[in-house]
Amino acid sequence: MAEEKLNSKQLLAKLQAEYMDDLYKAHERGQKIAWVNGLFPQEFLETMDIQVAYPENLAATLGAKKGVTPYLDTCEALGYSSDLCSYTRLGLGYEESFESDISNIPRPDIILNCTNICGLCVKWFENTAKRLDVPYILIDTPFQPEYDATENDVDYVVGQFKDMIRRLEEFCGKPFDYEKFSRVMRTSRRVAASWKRATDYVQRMPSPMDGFNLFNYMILAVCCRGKESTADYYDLISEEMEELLKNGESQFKGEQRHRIMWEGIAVWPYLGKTYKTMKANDMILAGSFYPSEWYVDYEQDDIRSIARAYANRPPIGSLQRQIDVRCDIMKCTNCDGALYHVNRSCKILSFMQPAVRKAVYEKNHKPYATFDGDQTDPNGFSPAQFETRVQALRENLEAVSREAGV
Amino acid sequence: MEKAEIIREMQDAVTHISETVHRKKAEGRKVVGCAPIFVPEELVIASGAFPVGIWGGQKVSLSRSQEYFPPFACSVVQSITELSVAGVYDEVDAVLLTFLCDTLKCMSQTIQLSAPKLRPIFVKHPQNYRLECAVEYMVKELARVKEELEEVTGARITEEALREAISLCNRDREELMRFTRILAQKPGILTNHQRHDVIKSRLYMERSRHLELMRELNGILEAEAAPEFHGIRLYVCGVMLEPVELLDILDELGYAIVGDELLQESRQFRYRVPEGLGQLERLARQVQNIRGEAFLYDPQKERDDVVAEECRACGAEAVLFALMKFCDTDEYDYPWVRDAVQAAGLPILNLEIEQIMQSFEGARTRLQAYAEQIESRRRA
Repeated sequence: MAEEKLNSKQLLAKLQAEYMDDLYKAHERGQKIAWVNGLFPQEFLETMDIQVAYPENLAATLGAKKGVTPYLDTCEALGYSSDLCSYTRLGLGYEESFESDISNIPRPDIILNCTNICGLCVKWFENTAKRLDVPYILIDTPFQPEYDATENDVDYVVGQFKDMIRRLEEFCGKPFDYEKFSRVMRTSRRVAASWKRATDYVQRMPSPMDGFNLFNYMILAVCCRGKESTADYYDLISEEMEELLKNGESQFKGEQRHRIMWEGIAVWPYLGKTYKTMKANDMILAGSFYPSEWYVDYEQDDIRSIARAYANRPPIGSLQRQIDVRCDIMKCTNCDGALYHVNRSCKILSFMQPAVRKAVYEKNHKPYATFDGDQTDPNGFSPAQFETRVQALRENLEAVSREAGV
Repeated sequence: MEKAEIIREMQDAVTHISETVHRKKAEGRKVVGCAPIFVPEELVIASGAFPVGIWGGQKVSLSRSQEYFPPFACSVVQSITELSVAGVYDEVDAVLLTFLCDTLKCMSQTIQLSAPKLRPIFVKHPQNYRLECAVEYMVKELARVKEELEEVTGARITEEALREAISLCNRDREELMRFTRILAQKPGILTNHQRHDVIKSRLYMERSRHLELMRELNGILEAEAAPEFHGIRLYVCGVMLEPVELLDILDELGYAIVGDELLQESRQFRYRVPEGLGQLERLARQVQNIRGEAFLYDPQKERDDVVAEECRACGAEAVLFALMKFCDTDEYDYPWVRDAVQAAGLPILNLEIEQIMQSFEGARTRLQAYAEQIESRRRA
């Protein structure tokens, strides 16, 4: 009997279960386990057959499922400040027990980190490596005040990649397979293209996709970027979007009156609350910088291209680049307003934000609102403030529409 | 010169920064700001410009900085921003900016809006500093910094001028190390406030003058008998120990700083620029000698060991971790430093401070209680 075709929700559940199974069976299979940050060049680890866990992803999952408080408390009891990023506080607390009723990741044999998102992970992973007594490899992608990566930045990253290959060969006791590396890079490029294609459906007017789903869909783009099954999954989402378009339907069941760019990381503990508040105000999330970060594409299958791609991530680009990226998102997705998450945990995304907001507004004159929040710590977010800010944004959007005679 | 005269000149440098900058400008000199942390001041000196430290202001009231940063940014960056909006850096021709934490990365961008006339020169340190590719990277970055300084000053920075500047700064570093050692051997010979001013003044006066004064001061201090001291021999960790009211409280309560690893103080001068052929390569390799630096990749977390070793070397009997609020770098390290210090048998106090703090009674109470705790340890 032919196997019944899974829908994207079912396929995601299956692939996530397989991913966790692979992680927990790694040692049985003679594989090593690595912990890395979200935008680490996973291609090298996939090539070395190392199973990769993402503590940031665990933090988001536990955040979304209301399971963070015990670990934040443990972290504070260790002497860490509650002002630190809540992903890292959760991670430092979790590492004391490796036990959650909600979701877990196995202990690492090695830790690797790339500075292409934030600098805090450098310290978080440094502490974790020492606490768990495992090696720690850093790939440093310098901040780019010039706009994006310079040739010197790329040379430096290439040098670090070569050193990492040498260290991974020693660590795994086998040579780096450059042919396999080429295959992994091709797969990863296919994943990037399929992820981009799937997420671009949110640009349609009306959108067949509920933009908040980007925060759910992105998990495989983060955790399994080097696997064909991930590309198949995003292709399936695209198929489903085509079907919805054909039938004139949408995943979003509210009014798509206002198309909003969501700036920053989701408020994981209040994903439902933020979603419902926006929906109640006829707002659909149509664009966001955060999921788009995982379109990691490169021009050709060689180390220099991949070095440039990972060095060139927007969070470490200049202010002008930050502004241009947001303006482009709002333009491509036809957003008529923006909600800016002033995220107490994320300095790199919050400290340039006042300047970004101002410049984006000066360029496109689209109304925006800000709200205070935190990506994982439930104490950092006020539902009442969020509601008030969203209502104010709606009033501004309506005033703009009235002035425009729409 | 008398000891008091030397210290007065150094204190004047620290308290009259704007006047110094104004005077240098009137003399036709270019002035280049040196923001935190680890900027190559040698290049500025070799260019003929006057290097001036940009480390924020004490007890600054924040208002305009809030247009650029949310309230959870560290107060050093907030106060630099506030001062930049107020036009305090208007006479500065350029500023060297670094990227060794996320807050500094953001400030490198926002300062271009808060002080649009100030020319930024970016100093991009490689975090992975022990690799040879990092040295090659840094040499090229320093070459760019050199070119930009040449544009600002209109002077060519020769190898010889740079070699002399490195030599000058190295000699000054050695005198500063000698100074901190003398104070560890003779606690109470200067106040904590004076110690801070002597060290900090290097950022606000001609380095050659600072070197002259340091040599003379060290000579005097070495010749002086050690005062009778029954107070507390304290080692200090953190970014800085400002506002100076904190130092005055330490003085009042009988603490004497016998060693520090403050970013604004000892961590600025405890590593010499090594010998070598090319001057830019020498500067690039300086960072390779650093052990246990909080702002650089430290996979073994050696900062903890370094603090414990230094405490032993300077004979500290207690440690103060002056934790700059919202400095995540120090916030990640504090529990590790605490454990290392306690394992060495010493007590440690975590005192959260802000450069902009205006009330000191809470800090006084905590330092008083800490002093009593140390006294009771002695009795026990």
